[in-house]
Amino acid sequence: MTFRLSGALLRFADYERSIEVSAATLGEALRLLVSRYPRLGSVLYDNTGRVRQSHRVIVNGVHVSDLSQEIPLTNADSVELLTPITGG
Amino acid sequence: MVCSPQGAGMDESPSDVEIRDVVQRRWGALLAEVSDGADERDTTGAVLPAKYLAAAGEAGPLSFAAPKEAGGDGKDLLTWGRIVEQIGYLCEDLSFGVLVNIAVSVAHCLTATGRADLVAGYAAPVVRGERISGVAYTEYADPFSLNTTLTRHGGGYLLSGFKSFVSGGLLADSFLVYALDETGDMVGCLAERDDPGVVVQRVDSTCFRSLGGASLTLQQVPLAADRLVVASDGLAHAQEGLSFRRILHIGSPLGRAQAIFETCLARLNTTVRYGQPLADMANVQAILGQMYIALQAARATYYQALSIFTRGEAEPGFDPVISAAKHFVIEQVQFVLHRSLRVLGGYPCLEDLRFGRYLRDFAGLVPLSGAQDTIEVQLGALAVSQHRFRSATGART
Repeated sequence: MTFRLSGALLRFADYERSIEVSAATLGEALRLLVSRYPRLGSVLYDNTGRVRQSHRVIVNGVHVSDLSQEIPLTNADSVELLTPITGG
Repeated sequence: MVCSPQGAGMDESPSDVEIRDVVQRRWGALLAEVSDGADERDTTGAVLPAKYLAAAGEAGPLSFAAPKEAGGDGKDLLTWGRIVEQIGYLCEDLSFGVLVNIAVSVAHCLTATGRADLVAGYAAPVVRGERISGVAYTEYADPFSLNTTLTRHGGGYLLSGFKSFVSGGLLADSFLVYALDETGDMVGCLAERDDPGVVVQRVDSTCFRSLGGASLTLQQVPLAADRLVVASDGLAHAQEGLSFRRILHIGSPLGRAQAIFETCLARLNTTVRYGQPLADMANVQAILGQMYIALQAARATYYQALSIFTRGEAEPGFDPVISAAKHFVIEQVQFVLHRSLRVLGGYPCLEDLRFGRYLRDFAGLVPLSGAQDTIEVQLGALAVSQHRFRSATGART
């Protein structure tokens, strides 16, 4: 599967916009992504190990709001990570 | 954890006349008193006196939309947003509306924790106007690189860092401070103004000069464990609070833009040139028509966003419709102001000096609760993402 990164996340992944990972589930794919780019860890996850709610995880164009369940992936799948945040 | 009253339900929506009547009858005297000192405060940089927020607590506007658990009336957000608009119409000092909305927002944030101590000690006094609480989020860094930290120390915490701007900071008794913990996650905690190591300093500004903007220096501030309010994912918590304030903060300027429009009508109707009132000239009427269109379109957008929030349909954190509404309404009220300067000639420059304050305050709406440019970037990115989905599936979203 392929991650697509943009915006605030790019600098934590060496500005790679497209990253290929071989994983069977979304959870596994995210863990592999963080193992490759460790600085993404504290950015993607909160201190309880959950994906921060400010990130939008979009699997094949569909926003996945409930990340507590495992979502199966194939090599053809695309996962977009968007982080729409603003300052105060 | 949510920190806004999204989905709290919609009451039967009152008419515009009823809204105007309620605001004028209940709070007209207070708003007139606040208005009287607006010019002097703007000139001298004096902070809006805390007594007006205390009066807002006693007289009701603070409690109207505040949660019932904190002693508020818990009215729906659509009605509250329309009341805020009317407050902006009647009140010359836009800082008043901003401070009232922050108080309502903080009351919801703290009540949503479900902790009786925070409701009794912070939220309820804020609703009653007895205490003022600021939100300390902004600093010279992006949210993933905050320099403010909360570290464990004994049975509690140490809070260190610097917040570059806190709206109402000079007035605040306490602060909801966002900081990074040892893991790099954002958390939220409460600091009192008189905690050892807390230093509040005035920040001068070109706009909202009566807002009491301040920086907050936190020098190894010891906090008891119960001061931790948001234990994890404080970024989501902060973004939800910002989204709530983003929609509320545009109400007062919208009301003020309507007042500016009416000032134009009155002035142009009584200014005679070449034997006729300026308001009878077609080019003047065209400009007034443009202003009217901008106001009506902004109002419709504002009400739609308020309705989405009230029905509980807003997306948590960054909601595209609410953010688009903030962006659009601010652009429209600035348009109305700029057209008024165009059509009024020398009057706003030489006779009605309030227009100088309007110019600066309206400029200050650009960064308020999410900068216009940032909103554009986020909305564009979301649109591109949705387009890719439509292209891939042929679906319409």
